[in-house]
Amino acid sequence: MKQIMKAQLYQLRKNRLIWIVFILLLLIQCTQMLGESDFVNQTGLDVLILAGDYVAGNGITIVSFALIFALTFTALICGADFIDKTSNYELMSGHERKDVYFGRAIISIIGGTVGTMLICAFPVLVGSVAGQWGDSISFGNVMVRYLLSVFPIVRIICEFVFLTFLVKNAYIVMTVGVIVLLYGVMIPTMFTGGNAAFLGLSALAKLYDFSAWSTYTLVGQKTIVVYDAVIKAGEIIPLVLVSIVFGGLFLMLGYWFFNKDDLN
Amino acid sequence: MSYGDIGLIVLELLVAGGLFWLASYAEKALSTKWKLCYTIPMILCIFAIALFGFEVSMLGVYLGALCMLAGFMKEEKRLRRVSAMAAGVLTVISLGVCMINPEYRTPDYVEEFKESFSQLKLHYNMAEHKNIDWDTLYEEYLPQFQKADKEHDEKANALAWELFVQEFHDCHVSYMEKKEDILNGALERIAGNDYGLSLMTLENGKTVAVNVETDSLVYQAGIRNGTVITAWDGVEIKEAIDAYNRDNKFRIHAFAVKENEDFYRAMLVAGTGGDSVNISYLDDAGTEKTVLAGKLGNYKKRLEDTVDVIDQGVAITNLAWQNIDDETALMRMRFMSYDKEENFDQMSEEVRTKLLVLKDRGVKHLIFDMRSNSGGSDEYVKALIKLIAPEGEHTYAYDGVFDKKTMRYLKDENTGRYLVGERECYQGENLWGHGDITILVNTNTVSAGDHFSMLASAFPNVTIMGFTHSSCSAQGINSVQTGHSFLAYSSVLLLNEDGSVFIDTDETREATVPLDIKIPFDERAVAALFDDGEDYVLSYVMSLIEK
Amino acid sequence: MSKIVIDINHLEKQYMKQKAVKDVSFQIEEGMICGLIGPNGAGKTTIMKMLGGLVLPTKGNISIYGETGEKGLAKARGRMSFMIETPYAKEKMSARENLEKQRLQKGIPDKHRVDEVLEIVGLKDTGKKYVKNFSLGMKQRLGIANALLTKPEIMVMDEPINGLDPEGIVEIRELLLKLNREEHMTIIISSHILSELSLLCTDYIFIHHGELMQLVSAKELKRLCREHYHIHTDNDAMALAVLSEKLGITEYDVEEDGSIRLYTHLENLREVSKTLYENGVVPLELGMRAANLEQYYMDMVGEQNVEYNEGAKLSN
Repeated sequence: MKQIMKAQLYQLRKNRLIWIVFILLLLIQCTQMLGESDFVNQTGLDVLILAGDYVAGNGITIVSFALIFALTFTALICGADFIDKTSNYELMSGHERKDVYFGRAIISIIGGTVGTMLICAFPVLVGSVAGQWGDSISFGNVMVRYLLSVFPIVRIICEFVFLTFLVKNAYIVMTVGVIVLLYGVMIPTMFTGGNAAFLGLSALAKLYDFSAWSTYTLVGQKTIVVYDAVIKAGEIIPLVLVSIVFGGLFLMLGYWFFNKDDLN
Repeated sequence: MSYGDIGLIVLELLVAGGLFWLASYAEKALSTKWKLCYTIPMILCIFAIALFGFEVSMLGVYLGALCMLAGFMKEEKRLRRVSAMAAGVLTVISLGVCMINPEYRTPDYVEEFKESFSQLKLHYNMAEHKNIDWDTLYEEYLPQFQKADKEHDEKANALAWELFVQEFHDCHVSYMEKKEDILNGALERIAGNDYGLSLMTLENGKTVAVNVETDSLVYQAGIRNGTVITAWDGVEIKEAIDAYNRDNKFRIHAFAVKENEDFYRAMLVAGTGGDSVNISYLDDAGTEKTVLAGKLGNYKKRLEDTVDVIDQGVAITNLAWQNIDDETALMRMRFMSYDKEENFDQMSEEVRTKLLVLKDRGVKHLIFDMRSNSGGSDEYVKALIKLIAPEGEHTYAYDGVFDKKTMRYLKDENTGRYLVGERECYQGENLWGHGDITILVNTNTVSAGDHFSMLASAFPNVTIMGFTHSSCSAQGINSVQTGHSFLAYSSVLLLNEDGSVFIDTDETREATVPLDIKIPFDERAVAALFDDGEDYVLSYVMSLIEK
Repeated sequence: MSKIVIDINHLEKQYMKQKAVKDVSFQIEEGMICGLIGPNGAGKTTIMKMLGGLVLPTKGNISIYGETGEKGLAKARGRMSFMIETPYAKEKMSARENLEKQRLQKGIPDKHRVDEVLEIVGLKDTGKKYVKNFSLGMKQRLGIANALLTKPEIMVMDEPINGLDPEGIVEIRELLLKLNREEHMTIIISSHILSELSLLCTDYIFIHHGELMQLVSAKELKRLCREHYHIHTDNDAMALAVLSEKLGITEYDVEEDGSIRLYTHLENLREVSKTLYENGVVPLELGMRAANLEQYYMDMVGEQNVEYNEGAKLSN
């Protein structure tokens, strides 16, 4: 397994696409955030958008954009070698299917998660340096949620791994995945009362859905928003458990499928 | 049953059938890709749970989906067929369970109460002003919610909420169910029995029958609108009324002003009693008589009808004008909304023009009928009030100063009063300086209706009239929602110049919005309202104007 | 007796309603250069894929170096290398980079091995050129280089000389022979170019419609293809006696159906037939037969309309 991982990492260094995607996403995140402040300026507020407010209002957009990286990364690692069939040679070199599968899966999970977390954090860092965090939302609580989001992210990556080994085409998975990420986030939020933890994306959406409380002023009808970011233990445990269970399940499903698959 | 669950059950049955057939097809095909189909049930379940929520009764469906996963792992025809059948059977069983199980998808009322309570405690801005004892309230009401939850009684839940919100004595704290019949059903439980009449206490202290049902025993016995009632169910009437109000928390709705609440003090007594009650009354000759009245049904309808009659406003559309006579014009202000775009400038213009036209015509007396005005936007208030205000700048009210960190409105440490923020004001145009304005209010004139009355009462040519004060609940509101209901409460602070609370009553529950002339609720009022169907308030006002 | 390195037992692969490989059994001994021969779609590639672990058999089993379980087979495959269908190549990397990746993946510690194999196949001077821009022949060489990377004990190659120029073909042939001679490497090779195979292989396996038709060593084949008289009479036993007595034949074979193969007296057909006739034996079939690999195969298959172009590039 280690050998497969080493080979993948070597190949990754030579791959331009993934770096382009990474940089592009970072840039998009920044422009989104700065774009937000422009909007804010137009509505009469004269202060640069506070990083806290940006995160509170756009949490799920930040994450779903960042997930595009995880998607691309996973699709390339797990799928690119299937397109030109170079993956066949790994099996024929005497690696067990288990190694081929999990070697790739592990790199996808680690690389995808790290990359996604970095891209998520980036606009916040920029915002905190340029402006301030602000009072609307507690930094510590957001930090907790940020760290907790590792679980649904890993789970989503496991699902991508499963999908890629199924479809065996990196580009199809990427296209489908991007569409799902950009539009699919809306669907779970339309239904209230569901157990959001069950779908990876909705679990993330719920994590980043800060309960907002707003009051307003008589003069100028200004809205003042505060966010409650505290997450209760009762919410954390199902989230973590379900993420682990389903992540593991999809990973194993992919493995079981791949184990008996004819590679022609 | 929820649509999501029905959909899932139907889909799972179809898929199980398909997979049953697939078992034999796949055997001939021997392509490994078919095994993927056996993950479809599980994926459907994941989506269903994520979108509609996990439900114990549906466990059969979920387990069936897991069963089918076996078909993915082992490509054996018999195993797949057996698991498909098992899944089908489990799904049908689950369907049965869902239909019978009383606990199927019932909300957790206790959880909802706790959640809403904590939100309320955190954000309700009149807690100190009204001296709300959170702990006592919690202790008193939690058991009621626990009982409602245990019995899965949605109406008991709604009733508990209704009683709870009334404890705040704030017309801006209210509870609504998405399905109307739940709250209606709840109120019916507490309204009591209908014996064919309602009760109101007159200005002179006598309690009389009102809204008497013509087709009833009491009517046959001689009780009419205005008949003095002396005893109810064997208890002297004053005693009975005091006893009811002492022993029961339920009022016809929340009242911020004690006087307003007392106005309707007798009303609910008319619903108390068993299958029949002894009603003692004075006949035409003044002799006390008693009639045994049997219950006709539920009191809620009669109760609401009676209150409607007392509260009625002129039945014309919002912002429509009616010429009462050559010198008097009336405008009805039932809702504080103009159009969808909230084009208040346009509304101002229209009213301004109308006023000038009326002025030209020689109209001297204006009546703004704001009875049961449910409030709305302060922009609306400003748009109209500036037309009638004397020239110069007027203060509307002051904002509080909100601190995001503590999520509280700040107070001055020395005086203990709220810190005063920015000032909202408007410019008066004094378009009616030549004449007088009467504003009609009732207990349901609330929110921006209170704002309007409060601001206008300061003008020299404005008189506020009604049977009672307006409701005196005027802070800005927020709400907490559950899947089936929502709870509104005051949260946006409005202040006077000295940092005292704008309009809302404190624990003394004394009215803050002035009532310049309190129209007496007497025998004439009763006769006019209930016998003649007359708009007594308007008639009274007209009689005053004519003088 | 050489060690058996690969043992195939009743191997079968079924897709949908068709069996690509039907009940194939054979053994490969160490040091063999075994040619798999058969038309397109015969199942050669499928068998190779099953050897490589890409495709899982529906019936039967494979044993390599005595190992049969999944783990054991994987380990055994570490001592083999393959070149099946597409030669290994990532288009957007150079030859060196491709091999470097493979070196890492196969766990070969020696960093110089990449240069060594590049030298062996003659691709040392490609530098940073992307494989995308290689000619077909260069890509084949790269595939062979990849196969050589681990210094395998068994090499399985599916049409390795496809697309090579005549020089290249000779080079590869020399290389394979050298490896077989010096390193005792076992080679399984399939090709359409039978003339090449006949210069290279020690054994032949004929596959047709997924079935194993015959496994025959080169020696045996030569014998079977040797020029001879085919003599079939009304009384073959008598014919044999006559010919032995009268002409003193010693070099001959008797076939299963009794007919005689005479390897001598080939220039004297007249005398043979006359001898038979004079001794009361009626010749029914009498003629010269000789075969090469192609003809042998054609006869065996019995299909005259099988297009068989020597040296043409046929894709499988």
